Amino acid sequence: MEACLPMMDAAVMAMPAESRDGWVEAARRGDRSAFGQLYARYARMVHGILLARVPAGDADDLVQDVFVAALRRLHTLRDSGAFGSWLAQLTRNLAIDYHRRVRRSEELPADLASTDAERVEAAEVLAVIRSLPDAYRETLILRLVEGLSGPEISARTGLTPASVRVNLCRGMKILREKLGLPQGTSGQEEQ
Amino acid sequence: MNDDYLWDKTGAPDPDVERLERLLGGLAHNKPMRPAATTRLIRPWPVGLAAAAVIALTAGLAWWQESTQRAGWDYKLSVQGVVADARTLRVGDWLHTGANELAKLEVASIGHVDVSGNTRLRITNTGQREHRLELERGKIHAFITAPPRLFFVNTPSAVAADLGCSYDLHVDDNGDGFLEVTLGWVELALAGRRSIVPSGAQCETRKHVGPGTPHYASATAAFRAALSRIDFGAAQAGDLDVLLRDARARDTLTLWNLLFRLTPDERGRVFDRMLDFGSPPEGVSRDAVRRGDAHALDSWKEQLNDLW
Repeated sequence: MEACLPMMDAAVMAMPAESRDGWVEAARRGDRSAFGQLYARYARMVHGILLARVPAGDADDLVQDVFVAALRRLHTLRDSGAFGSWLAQLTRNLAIDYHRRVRRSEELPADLASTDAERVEAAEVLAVIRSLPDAYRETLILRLVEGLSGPEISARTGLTPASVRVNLCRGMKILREKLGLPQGTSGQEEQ
Repeated sequence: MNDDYLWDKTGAPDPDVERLERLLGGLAHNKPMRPAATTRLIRPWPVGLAAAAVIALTAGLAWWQESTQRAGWDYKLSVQGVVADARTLRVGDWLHTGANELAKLEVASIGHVDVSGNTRLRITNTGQREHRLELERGKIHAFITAPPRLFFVNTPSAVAADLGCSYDLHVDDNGDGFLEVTLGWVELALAGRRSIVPSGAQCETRKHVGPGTPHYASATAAFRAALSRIDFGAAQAGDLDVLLRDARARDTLTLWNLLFRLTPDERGRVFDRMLDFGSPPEGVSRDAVRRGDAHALDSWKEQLNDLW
């Protein structure tokens, strides 16, 4: 079955490594605009990882906290090329700290949807995604909520394209089952 | 159509993926970086300012604790379909619906509880760390969108902990209960007994005993009857045989949960039967299951989740 066979994709290289590495180096030297470039590039990844773990209403604030922590700890990053995976792990750690620190109620953003029915359905679907194993829920949220493509998810998180593609396909297959949707061809796994 | 659209948004769009994108897209990140927040967090506060903040925080906490004790949830009562004005159910006050009455409680900002007729309940706590109801008798439907273990319902036969996010809970006049989960997971616990019930499954609870074993309504009648006897101290010879005989792949939910309540020899028999539904992961051996090795059982559960 071809559908979910892991494969490399040229789009993985959509973000030139030299730009990213240059921004990391410049940010390390205190260049705020370079750090702003990294924020623009990675904020959706950070938000998606948080959304898989913390209440939606708190994810936005925590994005800021993650980047503040990243700025403080940037000197500990040895390989600029590993910035994405380093930031992803930092985000997961801060989400754990969040749960240790406080349990807060979850509120959906006021502008999430125009009707209660849509708001409730979005909350239900998000809850179902959160019930999936870690690898699937994180990848699906980055794809379905944050709008990143598979190659973009791979490039930002440091996961291999093959892993991302398998996680997307398997996660979507389970999500379809749990939501009672018919299995499309995109839900088929590699044999 | 293949998975190209899911992977890199090329090819023929998958209608389900497109719909989920539209539905969930409102949650996406769209906030710029806040320089002020960065500055505030990077610069240490002067000692005097920090001390003042601590004092203010302490006073605020005391006020918050006091106000929490007086807090309540808004609710609307409807009598034969006619909805009355919103009222507030304060912590400690009982709500008792009549036979023809229904109530809808807004649980702080995390969801709602629909209260059926002939139901008696009260709020025992509501705050940032937990929201807790006591359901003495009757039936509720809870829909909660919050992190796990923030919303609880105490009943005479179990405490239901919401792990996200929709379920029906019924308590009869004897204090026995029945849970049916429609979305997410719910944990039932009492006096050392614990059951985690996934979406689509149900579970009985008994006063002074606690929760039974989760199972599906679609299991055979003989399966459910034998399980009830095993759960609540009336087991008959051959009941375990019935469970092993009638179990389907989905009923590994029940078999896996039973492992915690059986003797080592019985656990070995359950292990043998569960092999019919797939090989366990590495490290989950018959010996480990007979010993009740918690790590092995958890590892197996992760794999079995796909069947439930």
